[in-house]
Amino acid sequence: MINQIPNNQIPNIPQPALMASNSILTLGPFKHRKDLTRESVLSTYQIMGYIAAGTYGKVYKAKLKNNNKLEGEDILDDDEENILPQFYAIKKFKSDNHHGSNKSHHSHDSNGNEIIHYTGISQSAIREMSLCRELNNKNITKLIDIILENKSIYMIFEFCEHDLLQIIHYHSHPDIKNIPITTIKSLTWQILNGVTFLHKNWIFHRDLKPANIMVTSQGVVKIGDLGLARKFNNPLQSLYTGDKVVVTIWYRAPELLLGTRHYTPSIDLWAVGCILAELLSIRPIFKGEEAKIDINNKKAVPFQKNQFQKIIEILGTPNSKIWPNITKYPEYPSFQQQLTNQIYPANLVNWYKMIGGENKQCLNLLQGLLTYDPDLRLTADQALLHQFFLESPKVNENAFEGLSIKYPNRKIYTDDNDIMTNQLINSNFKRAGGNNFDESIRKKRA
Amino acid sequence: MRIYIHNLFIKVGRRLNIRQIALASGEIYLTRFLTRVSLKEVNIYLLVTTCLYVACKIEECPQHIRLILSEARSIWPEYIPSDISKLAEFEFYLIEEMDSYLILHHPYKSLIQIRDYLDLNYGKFGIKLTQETMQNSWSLINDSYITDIHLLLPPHIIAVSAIYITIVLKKNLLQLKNLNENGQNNNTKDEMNIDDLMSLNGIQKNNKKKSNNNNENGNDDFELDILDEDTIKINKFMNFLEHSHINLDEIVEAVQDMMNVYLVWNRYNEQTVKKQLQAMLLNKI
Repeated sequence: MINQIPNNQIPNIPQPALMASNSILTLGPFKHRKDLTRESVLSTYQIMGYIAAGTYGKVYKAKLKNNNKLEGEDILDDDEENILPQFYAIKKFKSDNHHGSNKSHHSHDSNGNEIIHYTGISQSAIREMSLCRELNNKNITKLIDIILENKSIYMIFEFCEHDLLQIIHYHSHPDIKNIPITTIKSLTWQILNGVTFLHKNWIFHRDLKPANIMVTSQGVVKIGDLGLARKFNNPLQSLYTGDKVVVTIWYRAPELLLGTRHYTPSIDLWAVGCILAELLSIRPIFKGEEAKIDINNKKAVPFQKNQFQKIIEILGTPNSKIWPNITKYPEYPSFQQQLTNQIYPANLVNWYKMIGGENKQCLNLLQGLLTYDPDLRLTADQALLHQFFLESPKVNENAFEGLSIKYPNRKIYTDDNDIMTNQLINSNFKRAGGNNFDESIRKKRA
Repeated sequence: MRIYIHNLFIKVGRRLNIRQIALASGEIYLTRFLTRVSLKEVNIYLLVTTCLYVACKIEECPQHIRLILSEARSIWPEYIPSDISKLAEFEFYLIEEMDSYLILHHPYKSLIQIRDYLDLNYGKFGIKLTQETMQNSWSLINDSYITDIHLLLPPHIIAVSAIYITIVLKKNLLQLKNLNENGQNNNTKDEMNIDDLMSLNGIQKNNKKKSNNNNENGNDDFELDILDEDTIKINKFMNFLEHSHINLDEIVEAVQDMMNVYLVWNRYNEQTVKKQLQAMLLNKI
């Protein structure tokens, strides 16, 4: 690339300092050039308020600004798929403070605002960014754009009016009937369709739960939050090494509870089974209490006795006859010691009767998804072809079709519209999202 | 210059024991970044470090930002600042410049797929890739990251080209060895490699011609050769290629590029490049 110049012809090289100072060139002129041309979030979108917040950061609802150039393109796109959505959900990642030095001693500018520093992008943010960029499926939340601006990451998704948690919550009101089976059928099929797409692309989600399943106002399911999702086609190290604990406790598959090191996409199908059960009965089927990590020994992952207990009360105590490999799991001794004092019979059929279930094929699908042995559990594409979906009434692209209920729209909190500030997430955000939100609602219901 | 950068990656990679796949991803990120940004606009040493940092995260073998920065600083103390926010800042600009398209497919996997496929269909093609062939092809792929072919051609083409070079080279190597033994010539193995690759250019063109006009010419070219084990192997591999519907023109292109690297490498002088970079970097402050 560079012509070879004999050494003695470049006499004036400045000698390098022994150690580079922080002022050494890093991005230099390039940074300046980029900063001048970047389209900012605020110049493109008008923030309407935030809709959820959690440990990851905050999600805002927004619409395109009127004066935006995109309007012209809008008219050109008569292809239905390409019509720009009216509203957007902008996910802003909280900057990861573990890496920064700003936690111990906050630095402030002259106005008393906190000066934010660049910190390394978290593993979950980078997974979500890289995977969403490549994925395009009707039943996965669609990424519109990623903007890296002002030391923050903004992911712009299409906006979804509902999510399953909110729908289930709505039905938990004593005056409202359960969700009709036709709606459940369409919702479940669409979830499975999205999961099949992910698995076909060698990705597993690892955090399927009602709060992560969005539904648009047109009744289309969109699987969201790929922060724990990852590719599994050629892992460089065991999955366990990467993330010790995956999936929210109530939806965690038995092999994970038994501490498996090498799990398969079937963990997602267990979660779908739990979601289906929850749609049917309006409450989580296995509502265990999470054993907390020992403060003195943070590296050890505790055996989730209570969660496993909830599972066997309904599905019966597993044994090596129905699950040949059960004895090989790392936590099998704990299971043997703590949970085999009382042997429970398989009881899912009675559970189904008790919640008023009548459709036999639906029960059969549920049994297929909530199978102990991950090798025998239905796979996503097997489940898609289950008799339940083939018999009438047919699966509908609009899960809400024929439904007399109109679910309430998402609440928008307008007390913090300023997407640009970088406050630390404080306690009052909990009301609007994350696990704490789920729990508090459920406690109220109980 | 590309060779110099390639070696920079290897240096950090060895220190941190980073997997080959992540190293490869990092090099691709760098190549893509430099298609849009001038080398003169950035600090190349920090760019290498950042590319590796991001690649490790994407390939799910993350390294802590502090560790990767301190290792890089210990290798190039004069160019790497100690402030991690500089690296984190660079990460933002790198990802932005690549429009967040971060997932890559590498020829290593294609290489293994081809081996498995040939094993499975031994009855049809009668060829297996030996451990040695695999290892040599793997190394050729490692070196191919110096070129632009990874941005231009799909991974399976590069994998096939690597296998092709390996098995044709092996044959020529044997022939050369015979010659050398006669002439009592004690060339080192490295030099032989390069000589061999140069002489390969000619042979390879013939082979391509042959495979393109296969229906008319049959195996004319090769019937003239001594039908030793390696020639048979090449023939069988060519037969496989014809059945595979792989784009042969692309393979020719890849093989050319991959071999040109070694010609350039022969003339490469690390100190010169280093001095030029130094002049460029330090004049900016």
